[in-house]
Amino acid sequence: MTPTLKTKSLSPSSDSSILNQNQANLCVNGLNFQYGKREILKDISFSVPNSAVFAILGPNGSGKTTLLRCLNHLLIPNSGNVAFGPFDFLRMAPEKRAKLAAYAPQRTAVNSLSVFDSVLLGRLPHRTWFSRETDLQKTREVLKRLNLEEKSNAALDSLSGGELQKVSLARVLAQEPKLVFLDEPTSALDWKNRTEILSLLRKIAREDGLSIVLTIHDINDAIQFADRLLLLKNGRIIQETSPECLTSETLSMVYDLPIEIHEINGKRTALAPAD
Amino acid sequence: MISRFLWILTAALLLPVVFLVCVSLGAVEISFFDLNHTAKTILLHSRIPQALTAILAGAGLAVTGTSMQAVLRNPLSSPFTLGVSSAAAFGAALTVICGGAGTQSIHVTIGAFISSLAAVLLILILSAKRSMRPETIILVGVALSAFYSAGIMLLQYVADEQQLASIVYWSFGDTQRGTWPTIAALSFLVPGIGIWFMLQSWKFNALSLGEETALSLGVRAKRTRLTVMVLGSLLTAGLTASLGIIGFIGLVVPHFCRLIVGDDYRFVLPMSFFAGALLLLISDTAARMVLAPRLMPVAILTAFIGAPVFLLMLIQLANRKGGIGE
Repeated sequence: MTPTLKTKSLSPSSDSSILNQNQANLCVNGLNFQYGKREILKDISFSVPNSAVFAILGPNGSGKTTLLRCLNHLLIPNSGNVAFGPFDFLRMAPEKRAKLAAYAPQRTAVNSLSVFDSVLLGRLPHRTWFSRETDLQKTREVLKRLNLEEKSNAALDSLSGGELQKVSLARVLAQEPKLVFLDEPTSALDWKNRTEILSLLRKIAREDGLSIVLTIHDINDAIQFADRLLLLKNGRIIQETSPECLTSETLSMVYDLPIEIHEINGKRTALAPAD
Repeated sequence: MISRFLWILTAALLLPVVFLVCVSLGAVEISFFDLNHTAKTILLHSRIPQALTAILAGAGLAVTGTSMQAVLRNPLSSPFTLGVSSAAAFGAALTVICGGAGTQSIHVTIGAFISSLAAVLLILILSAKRSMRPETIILVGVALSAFYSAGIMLLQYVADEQQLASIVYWSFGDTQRGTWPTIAALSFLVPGIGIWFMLQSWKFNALSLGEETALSLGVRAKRTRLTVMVLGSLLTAGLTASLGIIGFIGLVVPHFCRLIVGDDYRFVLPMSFFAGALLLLISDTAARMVLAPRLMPVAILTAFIGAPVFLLMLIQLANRKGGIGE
């Protein structure tokens, strides 16, 4: 029922066996995070397979964003470890970590930096002071992939919320990471953009062998586009599952709401009660 | 892109021209085509050192202000954010009271410098306890400034008339105090630290999008902030100890340059360097001429002009941000 990996042993032999078994790229083990006396995350363990979109679901305040921040060392967990292949993620030099993992926060500050320069910033872990042709090339390529070419010279503070979200995503992709953390990457996008971006993410995960970990509020988007789902409630993992195995019981329990899952045109769709 | 380069280039080319004009202006008009002995003496012993001091101090204060605003991500930051100016004034006052004699005395300069270094150190120690958050640094700076101001008031209260005059006179930042040795030291420090700041401009750009974005791009935000604060404050301490307090350049010039070349630090920093130099050089010449033949300390003028200019810029910025299109 619960395929969550729970390995208390931290010996290297058992770690590598997990890697081999599931081809897991990112392994999170016994993660705890406290803010003052308040426990935000309790004993979080899971692993993210290669080339997959991994969605973290849960109600507001369940610890989704905190978890993402802990994974990328923006917050330092009180205990537990995060391993990425052979790397101990929490003890790596930030410059090295930035070559492996990228993170897009829910919101970024804006100023009059152009879209192009702001995406070019994604090359920071790889670049020298002067932009090389490869940096410019990669930036142009990413802008094209996200249909942002026309906005290339626009200032960040002239963009809409959705466009800003796409620019953040573009910066993350320009970073050429192996692992991507996205905090609600679709929250400001309209339906068309949301669908496009999520299918693009799925495609990138497959083609470039990226592992994408994202938080998301829309359960149906998660079911449609994610390969694995992690359900959080009150800082604990309720279940780690595939979209096919997600049950109405689990969802209802996580959200304290009678949610039903129906097959509509062959697609599993979660429906909340009308009243 | 092209126009931003042009702005910087123009400012850089303008600097030597303005320099020549400025040293020829003053109570005694000097023509470069007809240099007599008096003119040479005035140039070598007064105008050229004063103009060079203005250029170096202006450039140094402006790039420091820009960099501090970048790492603290606060538009009100300036080279004096850490309380360097009041600490220096306190040190100078203390030295005067303890018998350090006149304003020009090297003892007063040393006293001011040591005091401002102590302030920087104190702030770093206090901020380190709260993990160097920008807000903490700024607030500790404000508290320390207030504390040093109280100390200065106390010293002024116990000082005799002559000492009081020295203390007050010291605090007027004045480029006339720039001697050749000072200029020699500054001409290494200012371009050196300026170039180091410019090499950080990608990191500053990353920080301008928020701490989290910068961190996940591999920028060691805390370390960058610490280094910039220490280097900038050292330069400011040196400038303030030897010249007195020259306000507003470090606050106004960064904002002015952002209005012209945008928020990209690759352009804002060199622009600030040249604009700061130009602004202080021009203000300095104006200050020499306003009360001619008496010389007015430039700090009085920069404060007078700085405040309204700053307000004007804020209004323009508000208009631009509120406008449609852009």
